[in-house]
Amino acid sequence: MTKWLGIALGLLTAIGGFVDVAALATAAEAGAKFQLSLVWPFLLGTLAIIVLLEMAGRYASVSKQPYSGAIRQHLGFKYYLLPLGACLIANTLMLPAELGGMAVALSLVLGVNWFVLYPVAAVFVWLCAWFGSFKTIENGPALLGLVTLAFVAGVIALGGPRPQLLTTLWHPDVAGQVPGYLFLAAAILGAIISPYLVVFYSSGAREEGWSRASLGVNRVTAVVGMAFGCVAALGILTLSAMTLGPMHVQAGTLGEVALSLARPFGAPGAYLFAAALFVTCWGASLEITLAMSYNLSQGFGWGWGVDRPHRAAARFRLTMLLFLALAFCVGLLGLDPLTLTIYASAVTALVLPISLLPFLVVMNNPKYLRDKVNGRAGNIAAVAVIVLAFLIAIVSLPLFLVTGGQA
Amino acid sequence: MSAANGRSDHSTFRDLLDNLVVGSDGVPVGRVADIKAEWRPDGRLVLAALLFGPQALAGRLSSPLQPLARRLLRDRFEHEIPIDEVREMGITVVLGRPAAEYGVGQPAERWIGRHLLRYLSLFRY
Repeated sequence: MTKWLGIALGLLTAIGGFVDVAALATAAEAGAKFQLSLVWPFLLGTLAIIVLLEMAGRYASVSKQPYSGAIRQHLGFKYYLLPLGACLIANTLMLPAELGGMAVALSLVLGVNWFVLYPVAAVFVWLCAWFGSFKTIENGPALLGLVTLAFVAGVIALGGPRPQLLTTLWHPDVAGQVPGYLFLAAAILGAIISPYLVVFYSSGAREEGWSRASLGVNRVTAVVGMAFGCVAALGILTLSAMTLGPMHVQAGTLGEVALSLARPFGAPGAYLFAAALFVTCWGASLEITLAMSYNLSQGFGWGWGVDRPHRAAARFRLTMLLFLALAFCVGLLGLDPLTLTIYASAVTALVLPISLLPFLVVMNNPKYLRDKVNGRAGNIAAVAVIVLAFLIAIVSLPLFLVTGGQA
Repeated sequence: MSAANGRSDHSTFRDLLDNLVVGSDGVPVGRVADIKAEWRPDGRLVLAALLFGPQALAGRLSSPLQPLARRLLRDRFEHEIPIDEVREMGITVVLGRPAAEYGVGQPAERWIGRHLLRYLSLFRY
């Protein structure tokens, strides 16, 4: 029974990594501008991230080593520096966006400018990451994250999508907006297939002491966690299409996205939105902060682990502190969280292949995985995800330049 | 250990580089930054020690970087663990004594702990 509670790891990964400020913003914008025609990137992205997490979890369970260390071990120090640098740049942009999302959520409730609340959000994340046990960090956002199902409840409360809206699933109306449509599709995929998710998930598997006996739990956790994230994200998209689209609201700000929940639930809907935004951004902030410390510590062979006494993992703790401080300072530049999210997603998309290519090498080494190396199906899936990552990387920059980061 | 000789159960020197090294207590010592090998009079190339530290890593990144790193760091963070200390050579290299006894990274850990974490970590210190 206890081992199945490990599914919380998948739920946290989903709430923090799947449904974060980037997914929330892109889902709402997709629904408001293109109705249901951008459901496919969510489904495709979910399949891709399930494949990656299952492999990362399998590697961590069988070899007893997390993914970041595996990259250096298999591909050498020079190669390891590439995904590390890429992660550092992307995460340094993404973390302030998540902290900003938390501050916006607080400002919706308190009526204070979000920028004033930004330091409060940063200190709260630091306190949780610094003093919380791994179980607390894992279970807190996972349980509270169930509030994101409010978007699905909203869809049901409004009677579900009408037939003419459903037709946009296979008949997208994108006349004159093709670059914006494709940019948003790439941004959705970039937001879902985040390398920090993989780092956090495989490290979490080690934190929880997964072994070969945990392979079933790993499979279920990856599927259930990401499916949960996908359902929540599709709830946001559908509700946005049902409520914001007809009002010609573009979901360009988080405040506009809040209107989608206000329609079915009235004033409490705005609070529900604030709660969902706060929890998802909180979970993502914790994941990104920890993922950066995990990545560096594992790559350099330092002691690491949330539950270890701080003095026994001093460099892991120092990395966490310095990274949070760096990201906090970037946020102080005053860029809107959604603008930061777009830049972060664009950087993530550009460097995605560098982070994912090692999967092919790592998952086929019998010295580490023995009989649990990838089979033919696993390798085909991995190649498909990496090809997808290359496509996203290739189209992202031109689309970003053509659209100016606006769908 | 030997250089590659076609047998799958043997490892090459390259296999050792970047491997995680742990003490007999399972605590990480670090990752192998470089290796030191010696030519024996009988013509054999024998692994002598595992090297750790930023200078060794810098040398692997680019040869000109190594003298520069040496001038800046003056061998203060470099460590060498004789191969005789290795108890087990698998996907993780296990040493014969607890990690703390090798000193790799320990001064940095202690310094950060004493000067920073002691004040910030409170009950988690």
